[in-house]
Amino acid sequence: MSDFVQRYGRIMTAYVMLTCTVWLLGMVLLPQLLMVDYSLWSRDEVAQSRAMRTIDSLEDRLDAIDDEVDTLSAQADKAATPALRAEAKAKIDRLEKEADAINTEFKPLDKVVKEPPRIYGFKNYLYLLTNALHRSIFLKTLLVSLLVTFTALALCYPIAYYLAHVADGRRAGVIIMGLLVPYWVNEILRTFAWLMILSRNGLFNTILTSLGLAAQPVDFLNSNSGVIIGMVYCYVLFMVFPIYNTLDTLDHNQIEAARDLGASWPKIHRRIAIPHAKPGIAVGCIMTFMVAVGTYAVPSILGGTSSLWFTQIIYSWFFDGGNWNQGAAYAFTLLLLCIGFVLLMLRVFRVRLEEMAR
Amino acid sequence: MSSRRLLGLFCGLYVIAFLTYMLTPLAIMAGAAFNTSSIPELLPWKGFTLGWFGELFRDRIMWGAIGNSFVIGLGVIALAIPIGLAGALLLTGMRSKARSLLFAVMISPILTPGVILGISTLIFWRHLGVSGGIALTIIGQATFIASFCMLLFMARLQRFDRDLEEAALDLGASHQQVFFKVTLPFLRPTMLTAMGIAFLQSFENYNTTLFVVGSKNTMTIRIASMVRLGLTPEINALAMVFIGLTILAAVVFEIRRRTEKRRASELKRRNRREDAALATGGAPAALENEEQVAEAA
Repeated sequence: MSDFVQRYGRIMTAYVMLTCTVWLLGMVLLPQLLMVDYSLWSRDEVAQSRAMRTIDSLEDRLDAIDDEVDTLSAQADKAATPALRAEAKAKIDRLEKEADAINTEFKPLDKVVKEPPRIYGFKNYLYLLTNALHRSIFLKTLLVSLLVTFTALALCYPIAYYLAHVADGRRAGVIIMGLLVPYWVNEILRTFAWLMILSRNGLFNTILTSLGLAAQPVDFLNSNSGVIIGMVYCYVLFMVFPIYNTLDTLDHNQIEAARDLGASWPKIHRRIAIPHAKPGIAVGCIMTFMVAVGTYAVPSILGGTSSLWFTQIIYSWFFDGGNWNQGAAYAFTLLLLCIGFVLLMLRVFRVRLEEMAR
Repeated sequence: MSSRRLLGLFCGLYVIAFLTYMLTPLAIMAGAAFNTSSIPELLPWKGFTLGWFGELFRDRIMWGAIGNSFVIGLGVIALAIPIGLAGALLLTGMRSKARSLLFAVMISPILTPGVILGISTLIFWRHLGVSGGIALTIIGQATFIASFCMLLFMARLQRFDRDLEEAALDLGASHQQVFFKVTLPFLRPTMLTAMGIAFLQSFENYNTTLFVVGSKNTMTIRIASMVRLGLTPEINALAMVFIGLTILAAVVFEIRRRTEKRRASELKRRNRREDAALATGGAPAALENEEQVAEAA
């Protein structure tokens, strides 16, 4: 700390410390903590309906009192003797006091109805665990994301290697340009391109039916296949560039030397290229898995009602169901899954977070 | 040797197949912008038109959405750059054990799915009485874009020669003067890159925006709702425009990458020559003169 002040001076240190604190506390940690807090409580609906019933019965009682007061005051007006009138008046007084007492009871009850008390517990998580449909969608999201990640790795490693060590500079440049375009074009537009290809009257079905390969159009969009095809296409490039960046720093002489010493090409990859590319492979896997698991665009455009994605359920908790606590629990579950995957990758590839940042 | 050539041929074919796979969908989407058909399709081809571009040009809602995206992008730049810079300065100036932990927290927004950043931002600010809209979108996006900026600044700061700072301080400059006259000019190229990347990330963002944007429209939100609800080739026209811009950007990027690479290798060559000259006891300056003479000749 004193080092820091000595290097940057007091004003700069204050700027750095203040900005970092606001960022990490106000934008990263506190929002996440509040989300976790939300996921751990739910509104007490039993108390709410009980309060509603109490309000109903109290209102009934108030109506009855009103009626009674009306009849009593009519009696009082028509009363034959002052004694009878006084008696009616006394009754009215008593009733009105009761009504006043009832009226004071409404306020706390209204509050309970409007904002039922919180109950802390794991109810929201248990809901996910016991709801068979949501559980299966969660598992599907996990498995398909893993599938997308490994498909991307298999497709991209040869490309990255080719760019870094086979193609000459000029050709590699052209290929990189060709890959940057689909990488930079908006995710929604990329998905939309596949909607045009996969829809009932889309290009794929036109070709299939005209070639006689399918008797009737194949319904890609209401099954998971459309979502998977779209995701592989949209997120495959998150794998190319990290691997390329690490392979590019591998001295080509090492590969040549291995070859001269008689190593077969699988061995060259296994013993030289892949170990060197480890941080890039880890970054690529993490990024691809993360965007696949957290995608909303692809399933919402290419999927139907029978191919829901976990993020779509989260979205509907927030904006259709209006149960933010349930949504927060689902979101945090998704976050835990991602953290788990990051830790797993760091373990498997034996890299540290700092190495990956380059 | 021939098996190696076969392997090379196979590799080349694979790369071509992969590029075709990546580019064909975009070509189909862009091509449909010129088809007169009233739904987005390339086949059957019903005739050439530029009408969908006119439709796009007259689409008030889309222009409003693009305007919002611009405002949000500028806001994200204004927020994410100072944060990213502060984070990078803090981490590069730190030597203690807490550094790893701090680093993990600082890049955690990149490793978090966008929907979760959107949700946590939404919950946090509604707690403070702020609901979704442009301001919240800026905050939500800046959370993770700041991490990207920080990584860029850190990479640049690693190459920074601290002696420059020390020298300036020794010569009596104040800390602010050192920062604004030495450190900041050194960071300038990265600053521009970071601003560009921050803007693009913000402009493209969908997942985080979806949760914090409230009832406002941004360009991606508008495109998504058009794709899901009413569909005309106007979207294809928009896609065509964006693909054109992207190709342009990719070309500029490639040219810049090449000049940078050439400059780097030139520097390396010169250094090597100087080393060699020093090793043999010759003067590097003389060698450089020789080179100039050779070039002139």
